[in-house]
Amino acid sequence: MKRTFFIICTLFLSCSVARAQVKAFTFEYGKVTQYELNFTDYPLAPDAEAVMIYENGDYHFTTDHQRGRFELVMVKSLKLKILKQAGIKYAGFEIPLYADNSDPERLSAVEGTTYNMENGNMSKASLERRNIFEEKRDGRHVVMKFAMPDVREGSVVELTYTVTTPYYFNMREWSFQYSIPVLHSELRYRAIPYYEYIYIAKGVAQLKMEQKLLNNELQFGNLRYKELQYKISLDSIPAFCDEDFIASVNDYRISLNFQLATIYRPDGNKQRIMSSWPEICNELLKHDKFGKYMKAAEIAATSIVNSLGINDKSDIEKLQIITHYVRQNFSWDGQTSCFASMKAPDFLRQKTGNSADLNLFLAAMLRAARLDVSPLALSTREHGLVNPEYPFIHMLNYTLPQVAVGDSTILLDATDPWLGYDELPARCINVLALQVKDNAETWHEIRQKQHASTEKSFHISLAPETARITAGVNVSAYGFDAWEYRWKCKGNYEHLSEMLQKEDETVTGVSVTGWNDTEKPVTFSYAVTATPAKDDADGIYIRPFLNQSLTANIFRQATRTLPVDLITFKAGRYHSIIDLPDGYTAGFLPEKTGFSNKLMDFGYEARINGRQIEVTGYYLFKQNVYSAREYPVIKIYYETVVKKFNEEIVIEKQRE
Amino acid sequence: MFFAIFATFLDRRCMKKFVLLTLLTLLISQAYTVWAVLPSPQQYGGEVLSHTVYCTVAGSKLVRTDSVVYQINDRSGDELGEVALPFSKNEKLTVGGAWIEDMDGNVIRKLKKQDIGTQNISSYGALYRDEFVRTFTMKHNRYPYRVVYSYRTITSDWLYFAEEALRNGVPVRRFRLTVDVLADVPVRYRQEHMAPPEISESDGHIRYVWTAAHIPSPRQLYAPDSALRVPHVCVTPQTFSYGVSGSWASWQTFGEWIARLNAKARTLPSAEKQKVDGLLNGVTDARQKVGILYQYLQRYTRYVNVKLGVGGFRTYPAAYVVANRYGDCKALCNYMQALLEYAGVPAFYTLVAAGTQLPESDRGFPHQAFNHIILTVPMSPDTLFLECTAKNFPAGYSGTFTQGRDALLIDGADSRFVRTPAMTPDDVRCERKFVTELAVDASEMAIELLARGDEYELLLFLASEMNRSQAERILRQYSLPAALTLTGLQTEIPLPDVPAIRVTAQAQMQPVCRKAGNNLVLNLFAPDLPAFEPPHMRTQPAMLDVPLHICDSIIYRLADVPVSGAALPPPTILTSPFGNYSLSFQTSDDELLIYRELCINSGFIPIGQYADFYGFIQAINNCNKRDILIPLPL
Repeated sequence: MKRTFFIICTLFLSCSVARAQVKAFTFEYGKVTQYELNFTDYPLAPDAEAVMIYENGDYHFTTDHQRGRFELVMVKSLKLKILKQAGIKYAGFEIPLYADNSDPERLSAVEGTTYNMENGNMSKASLERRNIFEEKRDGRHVVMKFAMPDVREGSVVELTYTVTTPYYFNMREWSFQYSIPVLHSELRYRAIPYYEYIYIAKGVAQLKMEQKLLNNELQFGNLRYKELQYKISLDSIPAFCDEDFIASVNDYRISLNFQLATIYRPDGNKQRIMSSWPEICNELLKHDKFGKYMKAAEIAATSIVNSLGINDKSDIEKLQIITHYVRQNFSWDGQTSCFASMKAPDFLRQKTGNSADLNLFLAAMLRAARLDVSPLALSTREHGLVNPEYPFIHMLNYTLPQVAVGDSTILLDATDPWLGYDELPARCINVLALQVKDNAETWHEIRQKQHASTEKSFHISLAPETARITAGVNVSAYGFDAWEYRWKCKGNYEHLSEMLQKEDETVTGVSVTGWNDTEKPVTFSYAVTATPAKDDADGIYIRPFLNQSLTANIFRQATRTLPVDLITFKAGRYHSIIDLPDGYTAGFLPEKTGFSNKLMDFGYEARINGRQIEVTGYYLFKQNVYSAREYPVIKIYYETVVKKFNEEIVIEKQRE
Repeated sequence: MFFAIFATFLDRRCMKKFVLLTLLTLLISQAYTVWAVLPSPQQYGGEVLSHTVYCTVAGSKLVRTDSVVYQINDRSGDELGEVALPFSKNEKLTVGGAWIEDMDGNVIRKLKKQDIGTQNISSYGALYRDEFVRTFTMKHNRYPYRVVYSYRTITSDWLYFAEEALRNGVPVRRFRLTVDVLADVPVRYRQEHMAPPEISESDGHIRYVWTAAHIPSPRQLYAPDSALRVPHVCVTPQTFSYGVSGSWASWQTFGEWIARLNAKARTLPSAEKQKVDGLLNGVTDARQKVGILYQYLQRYTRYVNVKLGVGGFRTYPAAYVVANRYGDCKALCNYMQALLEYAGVPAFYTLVAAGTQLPESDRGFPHQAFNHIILTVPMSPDTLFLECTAKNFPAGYSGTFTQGRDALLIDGADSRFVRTPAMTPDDVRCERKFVTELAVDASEMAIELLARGDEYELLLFLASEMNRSQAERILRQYSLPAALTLTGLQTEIPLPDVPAIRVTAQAQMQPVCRKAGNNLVLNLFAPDLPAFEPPHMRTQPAMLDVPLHICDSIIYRLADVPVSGAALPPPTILTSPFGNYSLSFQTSDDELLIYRELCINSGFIPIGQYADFYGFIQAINNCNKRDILIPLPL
């Protein structure tokens, strides 16, 4: 909300500047002003490498008499000013098209012109058709690619093109905001009575929409109708700056997303596509690549479940065994989707598939084991947040099974073999998921069930005569931290010793006690020989955690405007025992310190215990998402932890 | 079903051989143990049990048949089953058959036609490439298993019979290349890290057969390619027809072919000639002409790579660049050559193997060893090498990725090798000044940097191709020390004809100093040197392609704490055949001044000298790790 407020304020404040410049710019295709050709910087964003002077969209329907249907037409026109060399890259364009063999989307009416001023004369260079290339991405998608000619600093690029599609559901998102400022962005949509869309605005609280019934009466066959024009526009939109620790830029950039809701047939019947989440659920359950896929998979699933011999197991044991079975016997191809990519028999044959192939099959196996399972549909982090207020099917790009066991519900995922059975990959931790049940709308919050945490203990011995430290180290990693070890070693702990090796250290005797069982933490121990941080007449300086705790601040931006999303709660605990060599004593111990508040817990203590020094340190992030306002505070907290954990203990010779 | 596909083969004998090979593939997969020439390697996730290649010529077309057997031992090897077979527009690639079998040779699953996809190859760095891949995935859930497949490629225009380098990173138990030609067809070949071919003759044909095997070794830091000893073979005809006729007989004939291929490409439109006349009005000095036209190229064109046809050898004509004001390296160099020729300045299209790693020069065997084009402009006293894709380099600065190596200058029958100048320590010298206002909790730092060499190239790229927010993000994530938070950044090119960039930045740095007992402990701000392997772990030589030369002036200011009492380490000077290092300290009022110069020479370090080199690096690291103790006032 605060982000939205900030954008609205910025837009309001910038209007006064914008009004002064309105006369200098024209927002119509085919016209370029002298000012547009000559200006060299944009006052509201002096560092901007380019400015989108205007971007206009005209969405409407046309009639295909040959095929007897309407087609959705999306015309885009834009004008772009290149202010610096870094802006030249915006003069390359990619237009994706759905390219089903029998009825592909079409790109047409592509016209592009680059204008330059040179010694008071304007020159024009036109985009040639032969310089537009079609790149095939896969069996169903192509991308049309081209680079505008004669583009340099100062150029004005103007482009228009039309995409025509028979796929009414594929009304393109309208982006108002880019990584460069936009002076004027306007979308006109001429609706006809036969297709109803709903829309969601992202990155802004509300958009002003004008409506006008157009007078022309249009005819298609026996149909007579008029168009209702909607116009949405924004001016002086600031550039979007990407920041660290955000899930998806799609959550913050100002845009308009459309969803086909209802088709009104000429005979008076109407077909509701989706206008509510319960309807979407119904649709999914009837879909060939969702509900029907699960049903088709159940036959084979039942056979497999019967062969596992789990009838006498508890429900928890059943779902553990089944989840691990799917993970071990099928592999994920890296693609996320809410829908299966192939028929269930093909998936069983190929043993590899997208996330829906795997997870819907897992759901089928759980159902075959007579567990109470329902699929969840969600949006992955990179895809952006799903908004429960707006039932848009294309906002969902992932599915996973949810099992009710007693009073609790357990979420499962079959794509990652290195996680515990009920742990979800980071990409799924994106707030809300929709339970896909007949005629129902139930949302579940998705949260990682445990912290990502590591515990390390050190037993350090010093050999002053050789200036060497030897230490035994024990490590226990939980949650995502355990996953990270397994993932980095590709499941093979033989790679662990290579991973642990650091400059100036020798790692030996790596002994792994917990690895293959993903329900348990990763635990291992090893010996390390290293040099002290400093060794001179003043004493021996040792970092009690041997540079194996937090060593650098992960928060590196000076300021930020977007929330910080850490995905999971993070924690660490460190314990070090340092044996004092004969003839040596503790010279300096860092002071005890700590704090505890709603943001973070931290504690540190070093004390002498006979002939040993004992040091303990811990930290705990209490939230996985922090606001931009809290960012400076957690940045300082993190720095405090890093500094303290790496503060040196001084061991000096006993004075006689 | 698959045999039906091959009914279109041109040569019945080829078809027969292909069928035979497909059957042999089955036998190979069952009997690989007979041909395994290596002791069992340590466990790998996947390995190539067998890869046989059979090449022959049918009419004017090159027909190549590949038969491959992978063994997937565990999950980490699954990616071998994601097969992508590249081919270009003038090639026809057909998948012969593919299946998964168990270790007993039982076929578990066969590939179906609908499982094979075709798409454009990923166009990294290019707008478009007319190159494609046939893709399919063969995975199973019981390990180990084998993936067996074969495919045939028919090529209309070709330069090589074969050029094969075994995969690194994956063990190859058996590789076999057969080149089968008519007895009167001259064949040239060169192999590395594999035995020469067995040559046999029958029925008017000569058959050349190479076999090899390879266990990969991980590349150690800065090890050259040659240290990996990857078997490699290149087999070419003496003559070829590719666009126009050509010959591999010598580098001259190859260069002559390039010249003829692009002979008509340098015609400038009249309007462009008039522009050149206008730009050079009254200018007679050749070097000045080069400078003016190079700036004209940089200002009015840009790099856009569209790779179409003739294997990437034929350039787009100069008129294409004039019309679009963009092109790839070939087109831009050709265009620049046309401009200079019109201006009366001789310039030569020059092929080079670009990359940060210096290629290993081999003038003995002409082959396609290059991946980039620059322009050579002979001048007195120095020849200029122009990087025509760079919008911001000064004329004559060709960059760290083309320095110090052989390049083939194209001059018709007089094509010859030239050598691009190697970067010297002065060419890459970076001068840095850090002024830090010290505090225990956080220090404010002002940074001034005058960068040359690859630092200059990186910062120039960030300054010219990114907006400030993006540039800062990249610096933050990849370049700057973790302890440094950037709060301001400005860049400036001091002189347009000097390859250097000045950067001023403001940062917060923490922690720089900390309390330890009654002292303030000050860490030296030091560059991270690469973490070389200790000598007992090092088995490969090292190759430093570019020198490293850094001159630091570090000033610490500490209010309220007299630095004059600081225990300063003695000055250090290290000299070695690998470079030099010096470190000295001074105090002045409330300032502590540290001067440091580090120079590591470029060059090859044989394994016998590695321990000495490592010792030199360690000595530098130890000096940089020193802390300075400043007694706190009581």
